[in-house]
Parts: sequence; C-alpha cells; structure tokens
Amino acid sequence: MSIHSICQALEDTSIGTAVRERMYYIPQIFHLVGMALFGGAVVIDDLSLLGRVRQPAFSELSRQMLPWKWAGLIVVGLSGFVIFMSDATRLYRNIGFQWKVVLLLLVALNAWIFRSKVYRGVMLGEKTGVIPRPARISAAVSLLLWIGVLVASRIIGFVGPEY
Amino acid sequence: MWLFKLLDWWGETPIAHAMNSAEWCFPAVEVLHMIGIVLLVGLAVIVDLRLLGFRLTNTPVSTLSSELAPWTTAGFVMVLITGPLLLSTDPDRYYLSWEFRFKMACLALAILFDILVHRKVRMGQGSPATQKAAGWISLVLWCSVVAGGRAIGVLKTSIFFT
Repeated sequence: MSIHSICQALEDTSIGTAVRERMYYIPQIFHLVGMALFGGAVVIDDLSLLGRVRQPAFSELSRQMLPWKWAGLIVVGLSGFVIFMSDATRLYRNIGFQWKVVLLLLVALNAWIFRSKVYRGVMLGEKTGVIPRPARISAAVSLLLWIGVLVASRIIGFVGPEY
Repeated sequence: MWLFKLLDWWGETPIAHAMNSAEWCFPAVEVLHMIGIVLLVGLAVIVDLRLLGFRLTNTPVSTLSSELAPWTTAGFVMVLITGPLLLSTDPDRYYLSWEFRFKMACLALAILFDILVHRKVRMGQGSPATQKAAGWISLVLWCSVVAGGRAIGVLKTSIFFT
C-alpha cells in the first residue's frame, strides 16, 4: 500500500469528505484556538528553563501543566489530523507540510532527550538555584523548533503542488 | 464613515505598499502575529487557569501574573504591530468582513475587561467567586478573539464576497 493510496483512503472517508466540502473551517478554528490555548504551556516551560520565569520552580510548573499539555496535544493533534484527512493527497506532497512533520518529530525527539537525560540535572539544580546548560539548550531548541513549525505551517498555503 | 476613511488612508501608506510589494511579506508577518498570539493568549490563559483553581494552586495568582507580565506584554505589542500590518494589505475587505468585526469587538471587550476587572483580580483582589468568574470571562473572550481571527481567513462571509 503506497502513501498515496493511504492518503486517498483518508480523503475518501466520510469525515474527510464532509470537512473538505462543507465544514473546512471547523477543524481550522479548533486547531488555531488550540494553538493559542496550549502554546502557552510550551512557552512557560521553556521560559522557566531559560531562567526567565522564576516562580514556580520548573519541576512544579511542568508537573502542574502536564494535564493541560496533554489536552492541548489531543485538541491540536486531532483537529490537525482531521484537516490532513480532508486534503491528504495534496498535503503529503507539499514541501511545507513535509517540513512541518519533520520539525514535529524533532520536537518529540527533543522532549524525549530532555525527559530521559536532562531533567534529572534540572531537579538537582533547583536546590542550588543553577539551571544546567543542557536544560537551557533544550529549551532554546524547543522554542526554535516550534517557531519552525509555525513557519512551515504558513508555507503550506503558498507552495505546491496544486496550491 | 470616519473609520472607513481611516482604513482607506492606512491602505495607501508606504508601509501598506511595502506589505503588498512582495508575496512573502504577508505570511511572514502572519507568523510573527501567531507568535504574539501564543505569548499573549497562551500565557494569559495560564493565569486564568490559576484563577479558576484548576492548576498551579500552590502559587499565588499575583506572583504567577507578575512573572508572566513582561511576556504577555511582549505578545500584546507584537500583535498590535503585526495586526495593523496585515490589515493594511486589504483594509476594505477586512472592514466589510463580519468575522473581522466580531474579532475586533471581542478584542475591545477583552482589553476593557482586563483594565477594569482582570487586572485587579489577578493582583489578589476579590472573592474566590469573583476570581472564578473573571477567569472564565477572560478565557472565553480571548478564545473568541482567536476563533474570529482564524474565521477571517476561512469563512469569507463578508459583504464583499456575497
């Protein structure tokens, strides 16, 4: 089964068809409101690691915001997937979309590295008041990658194929 | 109407011409607009969650709010600069768009509510019930602003299009 036939199948589903033909604006609005609502949770974590938000401490902050981030991932991810379903055969060949997927995978990789390798140092650092360098780098990479995701998203509408 | 004249003038300024001169200008400014939205709305919403007592209840509202204040302000400045730049590319269309009018009405209410009520509440004033109400009102207003903003691009129900 090729990528194209999978995308075609997604597009031909009743959801894909309904969104494309009648209610394309609904998942778009959810996607953007979700970005605004939950993007703040990403930003506040990164600002905390960069030492720009001092209170509460990072461990408390990230633990408290975790359910909110999961909610965001579900709303933004689900609405994003529905948008993809409505236009899959064009989107998968779109260079902006391809970059967006790659950048999102890098976001996930960065988060995984942070949780498995960097976070322990942050916890230790909270006692001494020093944020370790790898944590700062991790936060800066996260912010840059998310800006990249925004840029790639805007590019989708401006490049081919058939756009 | 004076507002229409003002927008007309704004669409003819050198800045507007510069915005229209290259195809990449609009999406580039749009990205800056979105970064501003995440800073402004995304962080304002965290303060609202705290007011509602959902999250970060161990941190006083006033502490959280003042820690985030420089960043929400930065976001507000960003959208306040980039918004009119986006508007300048086609002021007539925005003026006639119902989604745009909705967004601007919600924005005006959100700013007014912030100055008159929210500002005091997040400094710790008011009963728990007042804090909750203020959190909900702010949350709904900011979401409406963003929803209206996205609708401008996708709905196109303006007088212009019918």
